[in-house]
Amino acid sequence: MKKFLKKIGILLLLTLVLMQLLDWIYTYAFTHSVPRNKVQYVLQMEPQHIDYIFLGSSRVENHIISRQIEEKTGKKAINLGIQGAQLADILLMIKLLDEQKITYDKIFVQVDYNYSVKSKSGISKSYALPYISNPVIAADLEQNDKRFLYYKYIPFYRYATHDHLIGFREVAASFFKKNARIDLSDGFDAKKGEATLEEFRFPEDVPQKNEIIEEIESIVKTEDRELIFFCAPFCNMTVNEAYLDYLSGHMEGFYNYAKLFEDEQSLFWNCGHLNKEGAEAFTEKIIAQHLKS
Amino acid sequence: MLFNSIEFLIFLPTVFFLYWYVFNKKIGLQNAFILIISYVFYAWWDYRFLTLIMASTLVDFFVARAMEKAESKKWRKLLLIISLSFNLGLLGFFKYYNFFIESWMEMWSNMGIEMQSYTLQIILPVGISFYTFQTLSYTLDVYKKKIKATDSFINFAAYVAFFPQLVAGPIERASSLLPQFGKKRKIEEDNMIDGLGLIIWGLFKKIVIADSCAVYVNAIFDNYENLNSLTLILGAIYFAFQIYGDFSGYSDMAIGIARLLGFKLMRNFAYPYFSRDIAEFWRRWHISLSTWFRDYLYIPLGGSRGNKWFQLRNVLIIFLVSGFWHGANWTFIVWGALHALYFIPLLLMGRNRKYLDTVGENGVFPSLKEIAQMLLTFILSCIAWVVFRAETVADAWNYFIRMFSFNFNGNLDYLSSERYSVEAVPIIGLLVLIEWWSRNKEHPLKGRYYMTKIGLTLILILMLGVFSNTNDFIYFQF
Repeated sequence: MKKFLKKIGILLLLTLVLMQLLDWIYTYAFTHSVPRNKVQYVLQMEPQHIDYIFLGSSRVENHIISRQIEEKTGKKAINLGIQGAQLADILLMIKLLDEQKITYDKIFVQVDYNYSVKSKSGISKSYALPYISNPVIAADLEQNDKRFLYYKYIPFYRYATHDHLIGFREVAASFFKKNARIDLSDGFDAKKGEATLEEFRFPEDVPQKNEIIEEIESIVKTEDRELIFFCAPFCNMTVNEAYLDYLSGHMEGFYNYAKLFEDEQSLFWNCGHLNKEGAEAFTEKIIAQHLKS
Repeated sequence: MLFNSIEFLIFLPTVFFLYWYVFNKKIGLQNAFILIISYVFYAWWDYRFLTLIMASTLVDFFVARAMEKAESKKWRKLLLIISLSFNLGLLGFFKYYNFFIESWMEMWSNMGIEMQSYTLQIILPVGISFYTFQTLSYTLDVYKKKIKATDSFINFAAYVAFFPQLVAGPIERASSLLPQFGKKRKIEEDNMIDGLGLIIWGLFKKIVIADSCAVYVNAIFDNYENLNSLTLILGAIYFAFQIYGDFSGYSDMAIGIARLLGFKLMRNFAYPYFSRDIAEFWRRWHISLSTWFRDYLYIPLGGSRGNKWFQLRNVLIIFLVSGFWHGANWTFIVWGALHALYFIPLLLMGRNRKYLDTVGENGVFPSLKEIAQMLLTFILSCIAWVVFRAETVADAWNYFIRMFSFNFNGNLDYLSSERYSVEAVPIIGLLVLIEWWSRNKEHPLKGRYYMTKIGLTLILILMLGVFSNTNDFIYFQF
């Protein structure tokens, strides 16, 4: 049995050494490569001033065309919407922007059914995990994720458990300096064509308050910056719209664009997402209402 | 409890330690321990279904004992019928009840007669098809007087519930596995070290090959209406490797784990995608099921004796039953029928036992003829896999129509899983290369530089494995 146990011991040791080695390699790749996601992009930004910043999920990422804003207003804008992002992820992005010394005049935060969600999204958390030594990210994960200690102390655990977004495929792309699928300095990701529209149902109950919104307000609201909450358009097949009416009545600075294109279904890719033409029309509306001096 | 789960990572070493160092004094104690931990392993999914295994075990144990003592052939036959009715009855109820009711109602509905639905909310007990066939092999062998009925209930119960192969095989024969419970197991280190290699190789096939392919397969089959022909062809290929990696990976791990405990299980896969015709494919794919059907259905039906029509009938029955064994869906029956269709010409030409050796046994590379034969066999199996994977026969048909339209659009499809459809090709290429070089061995890690190969496989598992989205083994549903 000694021979067998010795081999087991060797394999366990080898596994641990490999995990540590791979952890170093992956972390190096993510911290030294061209940015391939928006968290990485923000962490590599030099201190600068951006006039307008848009934060949210794919309902921002697919809806706001920064280039169009820049052309129309002459001001600098960036779309930092990340597919699947929730309010907790938006809060982390705001903290990271402050840490990177990015200043701004107006910040737009998407609020809709995500008002009922307090957890973080798997996607943006995965993007943040390679930078666990960053104090803002570490503090955020420690507060919000039960597995924080595993991420921190078990080598390679964070990469293995989130391999679909920060695994080998992404590391290889980073090593080969493959650019992100979209232009991250703009941040807009167009949905092309028209998909079948299906009913979208808002939650039945609205929470009385949302602590994350309160924290966002406490961080952003200063004399020289404006915080705007908005709900991007939905198709006309939504149910429980009273949910948004409640938000309109209770949130200061909330703009409800849910019904903006109620009769123009050709602008939608699906019920919660506009297609490219829809995004152009919506960006135009945002410019007209909020960004024209 | 999955073999590739954290729970099992704790379970297996604990079992190993207790088995060899605490319960090693008496063989009876070791067998009782195996029985208990096998029940714990099974109860991890759903403890309620333990009663089914226990009932099956009790019935077959006492039926076989009675059969042994019975003097008249009539009485033995009656006992066999009791065992078959009980086991197949349970299997039929849990696996096929709703299918038969729905098919019956659909038939009447097609004739314009609507009937009231009597379907039930039935959960399929994990592994029921596997342990039912395993316990049936025992009563059938006792009936045929190939083996003697065991007088140890613990040994028999441990044989039925043996945890490494309980939920997805290999389906062991009583004549091979049951006697192993009666002999004292010795620590054979080389055997154990080889078992370790099998576990690691099985893990590689599961979490690197099968689970990687699953990401693409799910995205392609769920959205096939919007994808071009190249992507659909890739979808079929990916599924062929997903199911191979998934099922053969599980079998390898099961065989490896059994070796750690001093047992020898039968080989279940022998590089099936290097087959030169469908007959060879079936000698290399899910060997324990193919040989089960051969011994307990094909041969009793008359096998290859009699005229060609008789043989054709037997082949058709075997493949249809084999398809139906996989699940209560017409897709599995059509899958079986397709394989029968592939096999029958070989039978008619008397070429179904032409390739009994290993392809390119004495060379490094296959000949052009062999490449063409392997490709054709692989393409045929892929076509059948599409039917196997599709939700309905209509879905499979529509998938084929789109795939064979050869509309390539000039673009690579970007899938809903946020990756391009061709991205998994290198991983499959890697597996094919490794397996080609190892096709004369039981598994690729065997032989020289054993520890180096294990080390390299570990690197591949860590780097390329899918850990975030652990999929159940496909064959658990059967």
